[in-house]
Amino acid sequence: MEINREHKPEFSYVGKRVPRVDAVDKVTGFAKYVDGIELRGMLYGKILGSPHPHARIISIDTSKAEELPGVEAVITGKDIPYNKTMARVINDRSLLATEKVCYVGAPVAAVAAISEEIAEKALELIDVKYEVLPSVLDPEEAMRPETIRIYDEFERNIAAVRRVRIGDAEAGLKASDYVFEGTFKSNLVDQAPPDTDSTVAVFEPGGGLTVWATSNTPGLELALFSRCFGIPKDRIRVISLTMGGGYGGRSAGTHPARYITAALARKVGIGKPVKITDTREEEFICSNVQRDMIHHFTIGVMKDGKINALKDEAIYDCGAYADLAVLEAEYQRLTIGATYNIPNISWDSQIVYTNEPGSGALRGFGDQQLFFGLEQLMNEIADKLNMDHLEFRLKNIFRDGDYVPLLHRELHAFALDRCLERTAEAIGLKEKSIRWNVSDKRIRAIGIASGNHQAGWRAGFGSILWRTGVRSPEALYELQPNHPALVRLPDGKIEWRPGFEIVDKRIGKDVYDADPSSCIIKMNEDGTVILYLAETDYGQGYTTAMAIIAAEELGVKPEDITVFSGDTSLPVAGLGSYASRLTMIAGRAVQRAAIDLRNQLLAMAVKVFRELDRVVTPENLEVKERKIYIKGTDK
Amino acid sequence: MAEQKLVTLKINSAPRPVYVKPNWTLYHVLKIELGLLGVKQGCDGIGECGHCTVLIDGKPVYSCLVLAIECEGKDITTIEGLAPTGKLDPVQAAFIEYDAVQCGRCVPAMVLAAKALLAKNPNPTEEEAKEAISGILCRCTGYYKFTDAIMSLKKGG
Repeated sequence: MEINREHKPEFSYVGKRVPRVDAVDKVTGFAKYVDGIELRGMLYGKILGSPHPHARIISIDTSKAEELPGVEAVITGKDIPYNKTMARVINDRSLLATEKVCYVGAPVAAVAAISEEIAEKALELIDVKYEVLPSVLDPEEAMRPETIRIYDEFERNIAAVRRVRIGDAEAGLKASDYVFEGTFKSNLVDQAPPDTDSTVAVFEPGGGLTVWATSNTPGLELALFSRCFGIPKDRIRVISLTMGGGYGGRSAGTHPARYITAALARKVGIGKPVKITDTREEEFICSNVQRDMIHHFTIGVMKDGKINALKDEAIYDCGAYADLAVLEAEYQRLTIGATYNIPNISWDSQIVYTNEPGSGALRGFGDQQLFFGLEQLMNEIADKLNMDHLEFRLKNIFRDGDYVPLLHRELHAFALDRCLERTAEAIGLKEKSIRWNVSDKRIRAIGIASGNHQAGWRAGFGSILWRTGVRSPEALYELQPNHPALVRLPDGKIEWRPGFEIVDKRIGKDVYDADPSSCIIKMNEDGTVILYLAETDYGQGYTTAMAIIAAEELGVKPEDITVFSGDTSLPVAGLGSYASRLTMIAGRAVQRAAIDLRNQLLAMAVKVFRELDRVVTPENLEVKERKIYIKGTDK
Repeated sequence: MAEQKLVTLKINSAPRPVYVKPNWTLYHVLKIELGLLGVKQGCDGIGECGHCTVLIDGKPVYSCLVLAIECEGKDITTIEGLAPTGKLDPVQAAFIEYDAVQCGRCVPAMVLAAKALLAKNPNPTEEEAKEAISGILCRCTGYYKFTDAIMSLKKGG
């Protein structure tokens, strides 16, 4: 099917102010959030978290809790069919800990009761005996050989390493006119969405499961629930209602409470919903967070301001789980190699465990921590060279059409230069000096920094590259000879461990690698439209943006479109809303579907006009305000 | 366990008889007992976020810090009271026009706070508009959309 690439001279709705499709529900208080779900017979769940940052579990005695009147289920790790459900890249995480706890708040047991009050009392009656171990709270200390291992398999507490090698950084530094160094530590950041995570789960006869979750990735949740409970995917329904934003921290595989809620529902029996809502205290203390990093940059520059070499020795404190940190480091790897055109780069990131809340995502997905340090150093270098901050960057960034060694290809539609120039103009960078407005209460300052981020999950890169950082087993062997993904064949050849190329049978390699979005558009007899989307709008305006695209192509008003989204029972597929991918990828799906629908309408219209003795072709026709016109007429 | 007492709360101009325990907050009664879900919880019910805001005798109040039993005889307005037939209140319409709606979590509280301000002061300054919403946390919008919406409703134009 051909995409219509004709540039429309004027848009009816794109670029115009269009009220959000969900605005009325939100201003009237009618919009539904998961923590507002109150079903008949619903039970309330609570999770018992570890009070220690690092301890071995000696025993768990739930008997007194089970006897408390009003308690309907108490579970521990043995009650979860696949306790390692959340482990995606690295197998370091159980839903309910059975042997060891590695951070304060690590879930150990859970209770479902007829009220929150009783559930809380029941937690107090669960007796867990711990052997407290020395806790590791500093990543540099964690890497010392004498420090206790948080996980037995990971020497020096290093979960993974990532690196970039372009040219020869050491030689490049030696050949530079000036060498600058800087060490930058970014801090831990909590996503703090205005509503805390909430889940309601209920099992149905025949083994089905329905879950309402504050998840921005219902499609991926479905795969994980299937993995957790061994349920075929057609028997699971995941519904994301309105959510208080995402901020990165809500995707599948980061909130144990979601799967624990379902495990409680399974224990209490068919037809009894269980709800768990995190407290704000829990959200701050033990939910996944944007983890902190240390970057030590060494940058070599020539007299004329051209950067000749960059070295970065980074330590990524991933807390108690490395999964998201590994993925973030992968993004940083791409960013460091695809922003500034530096001929010699040596970038190393060591991802290190500590006894703190595990790594999660926050908007920027790793790039914030990287640019925080790098861009400050860039300004210092520009100052030392007496160069304008903007000019120094323009001199060194990649340009459209440049070949990027790290990506093995040329850049297309890359406009970082125009972004920087327009930003500088918009903020009046040249007119204002850096410390712009100093009063006794405040200092207002102005500055500029480059940013770059790979939008999209990993379309085109393949899951091997993002999971290991390299493209071949030999390259991985060079980095980490003991990596669990490798096997040595009898003839000495290094190969991928059988099955490693398949991320997870339930997720499906093709879906995971391609990360597609799909949609279905239905037009009713009265010309109004229903748009079915797989992903969620959590306040970013996704459903409205898609309605605008559909409206533009179909010649209907956005208010003539109703959107259903974020429910895996809808006949559309997509993993979820993340990685800044929706406008581009789901938008394309919506545009294609709308064009297809429009073409069908025009074909029908040709027949209708013929019956009215007007001979037209589809090219003579246009759609406008729920009608089909012969172009240039009022017919 | 404390006994439940039958009280009549005047909510959105209608009398609502409801059984309450003396230690229940107005938030709990509105949400759990009466199913008025427009009140939200963003902190642990400790008066930190403002999302549970309702109007009591026209004044914005954190419903998590007020006991339901103390509200007998008072006029309680929740977000549900503004558009009972679906016709939007001018404050709600202004919020939509100025896109002061993102995730929506703080919006009921913001709408009520704005309404309370304009009822008492139809011609606020921008500082007064900011002050009126200063007790409600928003994680999404950067706040300026709410003050823009409020200022668009000034009687003076």
